[in-house]
Amino acid sequence: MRTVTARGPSLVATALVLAVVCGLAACSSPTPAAAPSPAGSPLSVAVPLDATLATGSGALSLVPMGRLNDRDNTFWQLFFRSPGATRWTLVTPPGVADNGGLVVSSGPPANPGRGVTALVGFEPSQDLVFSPLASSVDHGATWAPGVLPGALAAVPDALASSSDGWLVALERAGGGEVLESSGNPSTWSKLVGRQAIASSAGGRGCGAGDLTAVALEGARAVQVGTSCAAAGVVGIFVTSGRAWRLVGPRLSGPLATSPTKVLRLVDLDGHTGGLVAVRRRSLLGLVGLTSTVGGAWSHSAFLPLGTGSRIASTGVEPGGGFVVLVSRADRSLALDAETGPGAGWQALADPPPGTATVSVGPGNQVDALVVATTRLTDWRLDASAGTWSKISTVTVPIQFGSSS
Amino acid sequence: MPGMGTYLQTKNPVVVSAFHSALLHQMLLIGLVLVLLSVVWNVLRTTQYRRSVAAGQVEAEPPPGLGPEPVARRVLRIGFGVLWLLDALLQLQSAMPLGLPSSVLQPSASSSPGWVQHVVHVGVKVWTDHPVQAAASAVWLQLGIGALLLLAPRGRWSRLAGLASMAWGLVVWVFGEAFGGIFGAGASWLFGTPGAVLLYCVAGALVALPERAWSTPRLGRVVLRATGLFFVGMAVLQAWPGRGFWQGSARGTGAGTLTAMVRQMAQTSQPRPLASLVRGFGRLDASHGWAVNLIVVALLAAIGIAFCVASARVVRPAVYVAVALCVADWVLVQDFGFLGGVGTDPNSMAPMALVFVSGYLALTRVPVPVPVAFPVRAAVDVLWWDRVSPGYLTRVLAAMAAMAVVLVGAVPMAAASVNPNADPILAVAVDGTPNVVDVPAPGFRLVDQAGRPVSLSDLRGRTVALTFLDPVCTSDCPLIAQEFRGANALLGADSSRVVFVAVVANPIYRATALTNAFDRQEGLEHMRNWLFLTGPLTDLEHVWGRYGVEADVLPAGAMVAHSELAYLIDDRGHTREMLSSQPGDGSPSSASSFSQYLANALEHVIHA
Repeated sequence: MRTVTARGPSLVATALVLAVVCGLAACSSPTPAAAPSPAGSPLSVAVPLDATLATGSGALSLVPMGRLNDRDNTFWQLFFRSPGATRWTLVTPPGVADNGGLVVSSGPPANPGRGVTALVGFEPSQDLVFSPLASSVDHGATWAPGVLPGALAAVPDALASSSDGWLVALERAGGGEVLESSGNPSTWSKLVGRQAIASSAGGRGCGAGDLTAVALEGARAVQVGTSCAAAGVVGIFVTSGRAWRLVGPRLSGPLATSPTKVLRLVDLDGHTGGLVAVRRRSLLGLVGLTSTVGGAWSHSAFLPLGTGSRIASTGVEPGGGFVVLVSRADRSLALDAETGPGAGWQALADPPPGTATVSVGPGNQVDALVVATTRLTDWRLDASAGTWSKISTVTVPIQFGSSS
Repeated sequence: MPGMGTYLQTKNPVVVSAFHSALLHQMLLIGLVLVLLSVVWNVLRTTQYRRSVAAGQVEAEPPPGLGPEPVARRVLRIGFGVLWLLDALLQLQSAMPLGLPSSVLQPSASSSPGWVQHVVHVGVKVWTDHPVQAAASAVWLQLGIGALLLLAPRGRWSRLAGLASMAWGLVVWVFGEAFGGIFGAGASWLFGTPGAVLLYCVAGALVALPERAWSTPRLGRVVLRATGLFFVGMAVLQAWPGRGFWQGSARGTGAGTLTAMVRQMAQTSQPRPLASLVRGFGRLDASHGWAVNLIVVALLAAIGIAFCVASARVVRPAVYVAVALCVADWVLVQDFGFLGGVGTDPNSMAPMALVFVSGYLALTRVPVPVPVAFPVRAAVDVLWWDRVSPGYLTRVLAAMAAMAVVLVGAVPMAAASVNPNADPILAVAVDGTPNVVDVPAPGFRLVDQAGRPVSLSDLRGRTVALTFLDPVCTSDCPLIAQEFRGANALLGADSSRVVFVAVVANPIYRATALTNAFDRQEGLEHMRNWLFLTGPLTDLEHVWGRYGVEADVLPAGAMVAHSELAYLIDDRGHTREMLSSQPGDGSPSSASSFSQYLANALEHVIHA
């Protein structure tokens, strides 16, 4: 027999259809239109792992390269650029296939040169279900291995480290589990899980959902970001003894009517920066948060994401603001940067096609990193002219077929 | 090396060679049966002759027969006998053991509902796990059924041939043709609905009927009316709007269903004149799709109605038209059914034509009744073989030989279908033939998952299966670990005499936290005879070097590339077998095959 296929209903299906069509014809009613989502439903917005971190000691950029439409041959690369350098250096930690994705956390900005300067987690892929780690004290020149017992959450802020080597990690299990390590990245203990936060007083008030980010503020304060079903409440929690306390702000005005989701949570030189997804009326968008001395919060203006748009990359400026690369419905790219903590958003010139991520360095130097299979090209923005010029190119020796 | 997964080509020389070897062995077995039956024939004939000579008689005349076999039955029996033989020859193709599941079984079910795919998967698993056994069995089963149909024209053996045809046909129809695609999208008489092998079943059932059923036109009427109803149903289905048969290839729209099929058929490997003929028909349908379908619908409906009338005068022209339509469809749409790819039969048109032609003959060529002859009362000392005519004896023994051929196919197929473990031949096909040696195994001293020191000499007295794994490997190493775990399960009581040992093959990620994480991931933490050893890099490099293992750190996010080797070390500390542990495509069949191979090899080492 040779396979012969064609489209259309099956013989049996045809007979059944014939039998029921007449009966249905007499009593059929119009199909109702899809109902709108309930007001308290969680926001379905994702933030990719492509990210940049800029600190006083340099900038780290994480981009997927290779054959981007073939998951097994998409390899994530980590680049470092020290202050004043013109070229990015490939510092991807070796020894593990990273086609599941990478998460990177830099050392605390207040203490450059102390503790780990980069902590990288490998997202599980294929048959690997736990997450190897790699930490560096010299900006990726050398790496020390570690391991997380479970799968690292696929969010940009799933890892954080303090100046004294304290580490926290967010695992996927059960909607999010936070683990801590006192310095050995192979020995971890559970700090808190989604259930504990959701059942705390603050968690019940906010209707806490999955855990979405972790950060270390100062020496020993763990912060956990969540989604919140309650309108206008931002789910940022901190430990208070053994209890977990909601410290996220309550948004006001037109932003106070929608659920929220913390997308990013980072330590900004002793205070916390957050990037939160929220709706204003029916429009999905972003709000940048900054904690101020005394625990108060200020938030930026609302940055609307157009219909069909998605976040392509996020970055943190040295000054603490966020930069967001948005892929529009027509696949063109838009770039917006916070003009300062708790301020507005500035639309920058559209970056070159193929931009994977954007790095904002000292002096508001904006670099777009464009990926074409194995080649990374750095384009720099001339802010006054609104044009981009090519600065450098790095070719990455990707081993196609090596990890499938 | 991990990441360099080996996929078996359909004409893998190891499997093809094993297939040919199995056929040869089974042919020798059949030859032996033939010799035995010849001896039996000779003994019986000699006895007959001696007894007749002793009794002073000329050899007995054969007893009165039953008259000639009804023509309709003979057409059906010989026609389907030849078709089964042709199918058996097609099963001899070298690509059949590895190619049938992916080229025939799975595609045939791809447009069917989930439960059909689930049923077909059972057949796919049996064939994939035992490709050589299943392919060779199919050859002998079909050859035997064909021979039985041809060699046993009358009586119980002939009816048994019909039953065998029906039974094996049902198996093929369900698992090989996914119920002929009747539950799938795009069912059409033109494309082979209701499945060629269902017609083999129908023919088998007709041959299995008592011969008196053929003595009146009633059976012919039943066959023709059933076929007529089927044709009318197919005409309705063909005329059903929205199925793409009314459209050729109008500008701005995609190709119609028939046009697309014909174009696909034109691209298969076949003689050039035939391809050009099929392409020509494709062009005709593309430009006049509506008219072509109208003709098909009208012909199917007219033939169906004529068959339902079941009057010889009306049926005769309908049979001519139906045969012509079948031939046209067989050539222009079904492309003979077996050209190119892994064809297993000539598709539905030839068996379809045989069924309705035999129905027509059963209606019009009813056998003339033969007067019943009462045999003369036999003498008291006449034994049963005195009454057996030489021709009958020959036919019975030939039928028994054919039945033996069927059994040579059926028994291994039945054994394969109840064996959950894949044939080790798949592992050998992926990894090549292992090296059998007897040399002292290089010693090592490393630490296990709990940090306890372990040396090879500590394991003396037990057989060791040693391999090298990267604890953070994403593809091959977890598969190899599962294959070792599977081998341990297959060993049963002997597993207490074996230690499965893996040595870390990653220069960077080698801490016990990682070996423990790997064990948890693979469910090995409770396997008491499992050790995942590691140590300082210098110690590991020393072990790698002595066992010929390379472990290279690759740049830019790639996995560590390391050799995939396994060693079987006996209880004296001697290496007895070195083999590749490359897990192939990582399918359940290849994993099961490797486990089975490993378990067999360990048993051999244990009991050597």
